[in-house]
Amino acid sequence: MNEQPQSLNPKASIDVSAIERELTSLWKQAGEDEDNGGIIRASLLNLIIYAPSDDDLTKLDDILTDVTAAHPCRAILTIADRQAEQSSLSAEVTSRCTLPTAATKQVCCEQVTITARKAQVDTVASLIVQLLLSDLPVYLWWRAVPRLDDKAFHHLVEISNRVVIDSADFRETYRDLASLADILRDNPRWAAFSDLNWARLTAWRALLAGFYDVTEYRPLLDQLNRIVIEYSPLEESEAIPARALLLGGWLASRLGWSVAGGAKTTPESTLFELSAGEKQLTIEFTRTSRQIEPGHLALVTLGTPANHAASFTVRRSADGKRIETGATLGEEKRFQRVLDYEDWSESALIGKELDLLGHDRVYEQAVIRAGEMVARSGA
Amino acid sequence: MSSKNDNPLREGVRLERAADPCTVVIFGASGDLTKRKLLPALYRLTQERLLPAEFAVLGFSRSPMSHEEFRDKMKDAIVTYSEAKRVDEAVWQSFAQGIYYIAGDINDPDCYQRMTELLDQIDRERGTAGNRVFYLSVAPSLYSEAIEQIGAANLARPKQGSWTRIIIEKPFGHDLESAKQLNQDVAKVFEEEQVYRIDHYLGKETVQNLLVFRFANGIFEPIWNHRYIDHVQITNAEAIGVEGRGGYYETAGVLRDMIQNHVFQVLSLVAMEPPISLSANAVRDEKIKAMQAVRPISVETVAEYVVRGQYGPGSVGGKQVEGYREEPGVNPESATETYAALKMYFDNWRWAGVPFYIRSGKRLPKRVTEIAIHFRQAPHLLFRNIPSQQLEPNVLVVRIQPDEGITLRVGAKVPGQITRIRWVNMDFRYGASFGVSSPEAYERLLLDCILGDSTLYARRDMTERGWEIVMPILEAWQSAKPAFPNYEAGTWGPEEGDELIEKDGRQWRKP
Repeated sequence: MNEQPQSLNPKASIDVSAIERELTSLWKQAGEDEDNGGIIRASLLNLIIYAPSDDDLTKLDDILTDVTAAHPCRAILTIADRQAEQSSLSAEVTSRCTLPTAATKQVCCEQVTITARKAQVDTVASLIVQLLLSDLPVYLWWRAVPRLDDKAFHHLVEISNRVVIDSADFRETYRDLASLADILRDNPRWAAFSDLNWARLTAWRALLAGFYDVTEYRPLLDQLNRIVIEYSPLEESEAIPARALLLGGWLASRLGWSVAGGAKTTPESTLFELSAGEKQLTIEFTRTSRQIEPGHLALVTLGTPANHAASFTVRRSADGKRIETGATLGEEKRFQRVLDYEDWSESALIGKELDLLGHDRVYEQAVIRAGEMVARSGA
Repeated sequence: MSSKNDNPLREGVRLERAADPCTVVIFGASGDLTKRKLLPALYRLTQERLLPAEFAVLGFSRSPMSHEEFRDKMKDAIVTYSEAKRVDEAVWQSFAQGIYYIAGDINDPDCYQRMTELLDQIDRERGTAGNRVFYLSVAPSLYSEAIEQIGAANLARPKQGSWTRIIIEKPFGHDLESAKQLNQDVAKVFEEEQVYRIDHYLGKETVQNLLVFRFANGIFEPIWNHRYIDHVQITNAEAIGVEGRGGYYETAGVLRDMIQNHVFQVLSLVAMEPPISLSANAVRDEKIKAMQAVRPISVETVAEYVVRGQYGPGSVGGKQVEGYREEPGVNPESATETYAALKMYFDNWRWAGVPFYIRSGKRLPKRVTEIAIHFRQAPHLLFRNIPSQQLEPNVLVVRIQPDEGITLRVGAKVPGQITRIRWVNMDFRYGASFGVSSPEAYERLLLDCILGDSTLYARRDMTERGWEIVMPILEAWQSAKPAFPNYEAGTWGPEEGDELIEKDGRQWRKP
């Protein structure tokens, strides 16, 4: 149940105390309306959502309903309209309440929606900082491409503990990924970064890692010399999707493989040359012919040299509903495992990110290594 | 030998509790627990990728069945009892390949020979690396025999580089003597660190949270003692009756069924000193140390410290219900207690003079398990003109079920010209603050065992100490016939239960 929004008149600056007064009034009203022992106001965190337009407000509203049910917070939704003719700021406040059940009370949290137009976009962080609940972590969900020269991004990151992006939204994959790699490389003391696209790789990473938890297979990890990542191409780009690049970057960084040469590109694949000491290694990204959602992974194969051939595969099933693993040692095929393929909703993904604090160094290294690869792609 | 720590791909993968390859051998595989809890839990753990591909289940019971028939039964069970109520056929087939079955008599050594051969075959086929969990989900009277046979077949000793563990379901003994005997039987075959005595209460999130709450928050530990705490109440109430288990309950009663195991586990977590680490033995050392400080209740003093009750007909949740003696399988003259209340003391520095009131029963008004810490009154009565009923002490309530959470009751001034005090609850509800559902207790406990973490399992000394404390009570009760039934179903127990606490000038909370 959402309360009707209480709007504050648009103007160039907003009185923060007026917003707080409106919020207090909402709580008082909600408490008076509730004849069943009152409501519970809970807050675990501050969540700032930066949306570069109001195009997907309905979708965001649904996501916030799900997210706030599991992560009570003060949500500050910021709609940035840089194309507006005049600079202005407006705000409205709403409460978001879960329906009570026989065993649970009604839990409510609050939302402030700020619309910043034109020049006010760059200064909106100075308003938001006054609205943050003290002593609670600040998550910034940046629904745009992160760029260091974007003032709004810069200011909002500085008041946040964790920044969540989604590299699946990168339109110019190589440039955007390289920009993200620069940010992570050059600002190690900044807020922690996480990526919904990285979270989508969790199952793949866990299954690939799981092969080498087995004592028998563990030594083969050091013998790997080729990785093939098969992906479904993007609709409007020839570039390798960010998800595939992140997985490649992760494998290369974890295995200690450095980018050694340029990329060899054909219409169907791109092959990167890497090295680890004296060893020559390859990571190949190939387009799948299977019907899988654009940008998703189809198959990952980790292989050793032909003279003691072993390969480990994780693949989406033909119908895309399952994920299958298998190992081949010489001629012998080891048992396979089939698990449900979890295509998590955006709400579920953002919810999982809100459980995390602190830097994910493995992710950061994966992005940096992926950035090094795309820098050699020649694209 | 390499380990997961050597695997560079494992670092940073968000599923940090990946388990070793292993086979779980379930004794009593055709039983209810296997269908309702164990297989659904193992299936879910697999789906969450918390169990490796190199995993297998071997069911063992008397009923003749093929592997395929057992798999079909388990599939039905998972569909019926799992949260999702469905399985994907291809995913199920993959999981089912790792399910095996062996039929036989638990007393028959030949069975264990066949079991050994099958386990070796599973190791080869599934790569389970010789790691085994034996899960005893059979009648308690068969525990010792099963353990002896496992030992005789040389199944208890792990092969080089492997591990073997055993999970034993409650009840762990019927009295002190039988518990000691069972522990001796277990110790002849298994080392203590191989033994996991399950108490599913310890798998509950709020019980685990007690450790975090007490020892991760600096503000509580300094006041967690006799200087600030007046008394503690632990309530473990069930609204249900014996639910068709009258035959079993007649041999148990609430003292054996709930208090000496579940409630004492919770009690020890409240009373224990801070452990030196979170290792299984460090935590369990402190728990047993606390329980060793429990002031013994002698046969002669039972009437002073303990009350028993049995419900008669009444109404619960708007429904008329019959009395305990009218339940199927119950002796119409039964003297089995369905309610017990105890007053206990810990004779140690921290808890000197602080009474712990415990009550547990069936057919009470509602299902609730909670710990209520009642603090002392403010030392100086500034508000002399305030009516005394407005001057109550602070209470901290840790609710274990349902609606897990923590509530602190504090006094606040009612706005107005005069000073009036109202008591308000500051609530932390798990459901409100963490919208995610907690894992099923069996999932958590099974995974802990496979990972070799016995923190949430009962150690030998704890099981025996629980019995030591209650034995004089059972003895005293056996020698005197009670005037049962003495409370109406749907009430908070017999009047004597209220008197137990009221004679000390205190009252039970109404949860």
